[in-house]
Amino acid sequence: MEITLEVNGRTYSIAPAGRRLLAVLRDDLELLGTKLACGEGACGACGVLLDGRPVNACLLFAEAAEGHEIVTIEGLSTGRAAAVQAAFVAEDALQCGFCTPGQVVSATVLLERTPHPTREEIHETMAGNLCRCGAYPKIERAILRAAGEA
Amino acid sequence: MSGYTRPTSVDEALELLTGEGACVLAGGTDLAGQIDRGITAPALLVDLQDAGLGGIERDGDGLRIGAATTLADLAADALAAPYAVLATAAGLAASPLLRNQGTVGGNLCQHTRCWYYRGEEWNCWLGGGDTCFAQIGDHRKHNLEEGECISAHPSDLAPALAVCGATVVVRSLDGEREIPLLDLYRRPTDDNRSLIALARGELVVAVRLPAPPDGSAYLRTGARQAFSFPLVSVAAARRGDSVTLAAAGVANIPRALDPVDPLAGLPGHPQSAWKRKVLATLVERALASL
Repeated sequence: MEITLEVNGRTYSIAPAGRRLLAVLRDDLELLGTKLACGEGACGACGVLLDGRPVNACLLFAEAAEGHEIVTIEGLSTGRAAAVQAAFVAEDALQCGFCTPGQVVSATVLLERTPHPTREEIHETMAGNLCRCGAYPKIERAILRAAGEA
Repeated sequence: MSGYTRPTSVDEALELLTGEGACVLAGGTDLAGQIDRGITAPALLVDLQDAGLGGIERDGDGLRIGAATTLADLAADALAAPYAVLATAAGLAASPLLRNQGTVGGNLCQHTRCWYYRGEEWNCWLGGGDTCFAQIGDHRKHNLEEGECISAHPSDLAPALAVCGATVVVRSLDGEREIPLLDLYRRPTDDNRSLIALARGELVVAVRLPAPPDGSAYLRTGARQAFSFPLVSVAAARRGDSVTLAAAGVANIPRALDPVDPLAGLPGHPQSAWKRKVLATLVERALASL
């Protein structure tokens, strides 16, 4: 059975066949920015926006996303999202970069809600996104830079 | 592969849930993991997102929290703020992303994180087998009680709601019943290994709270801050001179604690006895903060 998904402002008809949103994004829509890492919601590498909120696409049944607005890292290239990405580059806030799309998704929402976050607010909001390279200090600096405070 | 349906009312959902292999889907963050690990293989996912079970509203002096309310919404809701123990617990559960998906009902009904129960290579006692592998294996994070299953209860909300005096509204096609929060749970027995005291076809639709306590606190210890289930957590609430305590992580269901002797009945196991010290400390700190 086909469902309709709205991703990055475009409408797609897909056959989810019981799969998760992450698999549909990567395998059917070829949006490869969103990553599969832990597959159990622990790491945030699969973070996408569902109606503006970061969620783990690896645990989200694709059918459950029908009727909601989905934004992936590919749809986050302007405005505040662009500033966040530029700040990640400027601060060298990654090593392997595998977690970076999820980090940018969470950081963009953080700054939309809290334009001038404290370090504590950054730590709390970014706690669902792991970086196994340990670039956390630089990620924190990148977010502060994007907020115009570094 | 599971079928999927999205009913638009609770009654329609209850009707669908009577079908063979039908399973409730709320946030799905626990269910997805269970399916991935072969613990369950539902024929039909009954998605509750449009069934009208979300939202927090005043209910007399208290609150009514819809079962499909997300943890993030609960943690941020102004109506929930006077219940500090609950708002804190909701804000510490899982991770920021998971709190946008996971729901109150799902958090209460989630399955244990015991690695033998979750492990595909083990058919443990709780899963229907003969052996609690934790008791003869690695049980560093398991509970402090004696019994057939020494898994640790994982819900942050359960002890927090329990000390607030919450009740759970359960519906089925036969009608509605309301039970004290701790009565949502049961000790598993040989002929029924479930830790949840719901009959087939019953659905948690809401949690009701009386007026806020005079003071309350939620303290937890996890392996880390995010995506860590409570190794030990203590919820405390005070009304006048009366203090109520409950804990997660120390029994296979949420457990009420005696404020005078919180370690009573919790001897621990060789590798898990360290939790007794943590429990005693968290209780001491929680009581001091009230």
